Amino acid sequence: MTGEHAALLSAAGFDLVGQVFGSTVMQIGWAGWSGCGWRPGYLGPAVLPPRSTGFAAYSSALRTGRFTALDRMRRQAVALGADGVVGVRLTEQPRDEQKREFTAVGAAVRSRGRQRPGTPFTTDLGPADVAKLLAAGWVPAGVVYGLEVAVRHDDWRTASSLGFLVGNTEMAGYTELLTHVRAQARRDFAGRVAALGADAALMSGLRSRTWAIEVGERHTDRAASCLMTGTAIARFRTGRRPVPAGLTVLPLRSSR
Amino acid sequence: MTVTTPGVPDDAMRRLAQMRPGQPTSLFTSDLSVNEFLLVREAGFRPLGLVLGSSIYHVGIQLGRWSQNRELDQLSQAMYHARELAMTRMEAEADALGADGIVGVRLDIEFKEFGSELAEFIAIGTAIQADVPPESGTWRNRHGKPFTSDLSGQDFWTLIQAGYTPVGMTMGSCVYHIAHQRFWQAMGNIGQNVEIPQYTEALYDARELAMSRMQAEAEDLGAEGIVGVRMLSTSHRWGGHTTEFFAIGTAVRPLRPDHVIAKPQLVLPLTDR
Repeated sequence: MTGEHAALLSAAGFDLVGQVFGSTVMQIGWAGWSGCGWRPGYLGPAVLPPRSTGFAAYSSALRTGRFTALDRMRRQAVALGADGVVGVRLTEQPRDEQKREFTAVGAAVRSRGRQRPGTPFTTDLGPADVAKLLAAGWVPAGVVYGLEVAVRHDDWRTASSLGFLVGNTEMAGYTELLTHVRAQARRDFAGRVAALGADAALMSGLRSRTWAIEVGERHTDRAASCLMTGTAIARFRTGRRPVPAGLTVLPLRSSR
Repeated sequence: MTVTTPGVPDDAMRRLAQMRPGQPTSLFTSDLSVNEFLLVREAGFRPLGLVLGSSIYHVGIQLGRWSQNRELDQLSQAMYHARELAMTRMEAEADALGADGIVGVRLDIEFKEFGSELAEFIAIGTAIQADVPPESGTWRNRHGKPFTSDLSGQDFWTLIQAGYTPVGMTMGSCVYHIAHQRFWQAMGNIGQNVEIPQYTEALYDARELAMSRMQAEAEDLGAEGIVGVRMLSTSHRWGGHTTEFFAIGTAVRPLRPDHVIAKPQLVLPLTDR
């Protein structure tokens, strides 16, 4: 946090309390992994929709890791008497084969008013954005993320080994898999925003990853994951004057 | 931030203290930045939600003659078709939300770990709905579809202020094979700084094809012009002699005859950047 940030926060009616931090190391294994359910010679080449079943343990470990890091950061903010944490950064770091560290770090702020929010809000937006939102009648409610991991059996609709023979065409199976994980992650995200009681969300990131899994003799399946992050925001009415309108300005900067 | 409303933090904190799991009916998600979000609201539009469409496409190589400049039409079509699928799927999501348009669209290509010739084409934007219809009756374009625009929220606001509205994103693609030099030509150029005419010609040709395809789309939409045009040239994974030229921009139509915008205030920032 710079002096500029502190000035922005104080203009918005907040004081900077200090940096807060939370972290946890999770063991992430593949317990429960059972392939896509395809069996050779069983009803011929299967065309199975993407399934999330085998990854329940994996995705719940990711959820727990993120939640714990955020929660520990929030507890630190409570201990400091803060009302919120701005500029939150969530990171994941592999520590060895199966261990992953989740950390959350941000700047704790306290309102100058008499009203306390109950639990401190968290947001990945920076101080300038928080100040602008407040001036427009919106308050950040919490960092939210949606997550989904799924797998799809590789078959003739996905096999990329055909190369030349395929020609230029859409790969329906892979499109289906990625569309599925994104749709689920979006649904998860929206559900969590609603569960908070917020009115809207500003997404800050949407990351998708795909990888191959060896499930048996010369047979691989494809897994895909999608993580959507953002900040839930809530509308409030001020009993005072309307929000100042935007002003068209032309900065006289030199391009040098 | 020049002015603050006294009492804002109190009102805001009270809202948080009263948070209850609400009705997710009016809930929207948007990938706009805070600046864009507030400006889109000020332009008279409400975000309805994040919309996206994607397509994983196999874009192989098409063989060109080694010593010939020519368009690789199959590849041009594949690159165009894949983007069109992503855009159409995104539009379908916006249509289902009852949107008037989609702003801040990002159209990306990402080659996947699946295989060297598999790429994901993805279109992401924020669906918006206007508070009031325009004088011309509808915000949607002449095909009755929500408009799409890759302009930022700031540019969108300025465009609306100036009395224009987007009608749709327009694009044109041309994948071109540039001839290799014959042996004696290459020998002749050693140690010299000279123009390579066939290269220059090829670049002119390919850009011209991409631009004219984009313009044809704008004409089809009945647009007055195309703004924010970008001309991208990428070799993706095809090596140095095969390049895609891709033209993309937002086609616009006028909302009213005059296009006067408020005179901007001149400000002198106290920062370097």
